[in-house]
Amino acid sequence: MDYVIEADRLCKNYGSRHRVLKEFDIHVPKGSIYGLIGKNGAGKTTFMRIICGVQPLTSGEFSLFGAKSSDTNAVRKARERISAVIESPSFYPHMSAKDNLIQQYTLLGIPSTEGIDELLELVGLLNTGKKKVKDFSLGMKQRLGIAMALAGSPDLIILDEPMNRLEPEGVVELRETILRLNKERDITFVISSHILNELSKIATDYGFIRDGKLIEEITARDLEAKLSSSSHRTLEDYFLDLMNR
Amino acid sequence: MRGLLKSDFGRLFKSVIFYILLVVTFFGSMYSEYETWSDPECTCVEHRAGDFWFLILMFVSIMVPMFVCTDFSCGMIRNKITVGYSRAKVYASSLITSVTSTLLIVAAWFLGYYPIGVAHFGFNNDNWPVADLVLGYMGFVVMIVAFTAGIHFVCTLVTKKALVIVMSILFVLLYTTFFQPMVLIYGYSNETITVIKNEDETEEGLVVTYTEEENPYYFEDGTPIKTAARAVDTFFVPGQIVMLSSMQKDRTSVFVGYDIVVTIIIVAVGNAVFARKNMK
Amino acid sequence: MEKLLLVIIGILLLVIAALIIKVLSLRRSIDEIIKDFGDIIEKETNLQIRVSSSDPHIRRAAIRLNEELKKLREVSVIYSRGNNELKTAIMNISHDLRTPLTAINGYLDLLDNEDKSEDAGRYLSIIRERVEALKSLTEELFKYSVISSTKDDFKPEEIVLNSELETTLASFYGALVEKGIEPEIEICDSKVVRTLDRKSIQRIFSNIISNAIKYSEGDLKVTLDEEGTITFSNKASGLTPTEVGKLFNRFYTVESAHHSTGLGLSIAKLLSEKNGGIIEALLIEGSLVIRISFPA
Repeated sequence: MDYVIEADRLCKNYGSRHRVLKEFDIHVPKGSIYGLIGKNGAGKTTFMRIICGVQPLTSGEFSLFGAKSSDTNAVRKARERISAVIESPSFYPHMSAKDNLIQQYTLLGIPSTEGIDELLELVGLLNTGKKKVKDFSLGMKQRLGIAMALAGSPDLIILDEPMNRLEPEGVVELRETILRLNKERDITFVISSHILNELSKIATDYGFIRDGKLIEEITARDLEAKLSSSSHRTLEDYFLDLMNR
Repeated sequence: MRGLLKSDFGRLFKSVIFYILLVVTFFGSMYSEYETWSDPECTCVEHRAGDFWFLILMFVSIMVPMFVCTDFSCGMIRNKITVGYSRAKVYASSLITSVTSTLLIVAAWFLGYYPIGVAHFGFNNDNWPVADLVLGYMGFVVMIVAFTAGIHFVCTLVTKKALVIVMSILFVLLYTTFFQPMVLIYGYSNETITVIKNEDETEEGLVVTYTEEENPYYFEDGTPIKTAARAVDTFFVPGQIVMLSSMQKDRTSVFVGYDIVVTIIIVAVGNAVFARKNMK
Repeated sequence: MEKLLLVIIGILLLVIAALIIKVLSLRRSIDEIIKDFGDIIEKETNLQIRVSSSDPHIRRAAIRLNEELKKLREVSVIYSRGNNELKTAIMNISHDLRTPLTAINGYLDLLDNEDKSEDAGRYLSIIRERVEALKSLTEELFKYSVISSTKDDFKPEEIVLNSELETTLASFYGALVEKGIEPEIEICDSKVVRTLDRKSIQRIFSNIISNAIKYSEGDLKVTLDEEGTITFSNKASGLTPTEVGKLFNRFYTVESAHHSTGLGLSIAKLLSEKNGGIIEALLIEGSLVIRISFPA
């Protein structure tokens, strides 16, 4: 089994008191849509930040596409294959959607700007013209975030609660886009979410996180088998039970 | 690294504030020199660095935070790291862009007044040999670079644009209007001051008698207050400006060296801090 | 006059410097492209070639290469998805086939106990034979799909090839005697140690040996040398070079009448490669030689 992300006893502390991740383990298979489920403050966002390099880990290690976290150069190189939309998407608010993508292309060193229109069309922002991003609705901003994430032809996309701020049609569209990208381009997704219903429609693997520890990791198929044979009827029941055990 | 630099410079050259500041500096410098030219009594030693020096500092205080802190607040720094650039490169690229923007503003200031200086004040002739001028400017430039590096460092610690701008402008203003006079007084007062003792009306006119009185602000060389005041004056921006503008060549080279060291220290510390910074 | 000359020389020097810089930068860009291209082809990735130069020629080269890489990647994804789906289907089907087969066997047993004519008895034993063949084919199919789709149970450890080979040969002693084969064994004295998965090696050796036994014309030679090369040879007069070339193909059997499946050698090949070894089949002077080597 090829794992894109593996973590081994990962710990993250802010100061000596506040321990966010405690001996965190995770195994994200290649080509999967991995749903990271946990309450607010359980450590999902922190974990994602550590993988992206935005925050340094305190102890333990992880590996990204086989590159160990102790080898900083290899991890940096591996990060060229990933993108993320964590909390609020990153872009320059005073520029238009297209200009933001052009900036991203320049940053990445992509030789041609041809793919930009295609990308905008994929997320439905082709008609925004010169409109500044700060005037976008939340849903549009989220979509731009996805477009920026796709700019570098990544193999792994990390999404932190992407469905939170979307209107219902937006959620459906996002779901379709994720499925399509996963199937057509073999992109692995790590998605954290509260909206378990939506996640259960697309996830192939689940990781349940509580208080900074991953308490269960299970494939969608096995989970389905478990659900049908036990008293839990929905993913939510299962999740609530896990959290309160 | 190329991608980072292209992206940062691209943003700089698209920013309206930058061009506004450039234009203001250019015309302002030209105007201020022209004013000096028109003033017959001006001995003009102070003007060598132009009244604009502290305005340039203020412009830098606005320019750099607007450029750097935007990166932080929009999450674009986060983006640069996620796509695989090392922290050192990200830091270096934004520093280089900030310093370049500052140097361009200094260039605008220089271009504004040099032609008038040549025409009127006789730059390049015996009174103002080019070598001295160049050395003076180099000192000035290096000092501005040190200041830019300092502001850049503050931006990486405090990522709110408005806060950094206010902090830096306050610092520049405070120092020049509040602390600077005090520093000069405590550091350079003479032992005695000449005070008017008497004013008598005689047939020849007003006769004024003077007497020497003890200066309360005078401190002996070596006392902590005086040493401190002198040190502060010597090592901070306004004092350096005065030194540079009086063209004391030997002092200038000391300051250039000093500023280079300070810049290196600030950059090294800033890089180290940035390398471990937790970002949102 | 002199000043003008100096100026001209100055300008020329600058031009030369600029050209040198340009050449160096172009060289670096080309090296970058080659490196990126190599990396991308090696890994299964969506990444495209990135350039740091603004030179239009370099960019165009990169763009063109990227176009082709993209097409290659699309085809590769379709293939591997399709392949995986196929493997999963085979795994499921071969697994599901076991049930009816077991039932058939059960009823055959019952039928056996009934009164029947001689003809009926003969037909029954033929049916049994075929059912057995079906069963083992299904087993092999299932194992094959499992091997090629998961990496479970793969535990490389330090093993001594000499002893593994000897042990496997010994386990076939009965079959060898039955077929009247007296194997010629040349195993070097020095211990050949490699880091490999023990179960894979045992499986590889068994598959090849049992294949050799099935098709043997009475001989078998097994050698192991100090460099870690193992050969299994046996006379195979009816074999053509083309057939030898196809031996490792899945499902290819030379003589389909024999009750074997073509998967044995394919599994051996898969496992050899999984352990970092190379396996090949050669026809040397009318003998089939299967040679495996595991580099140190």
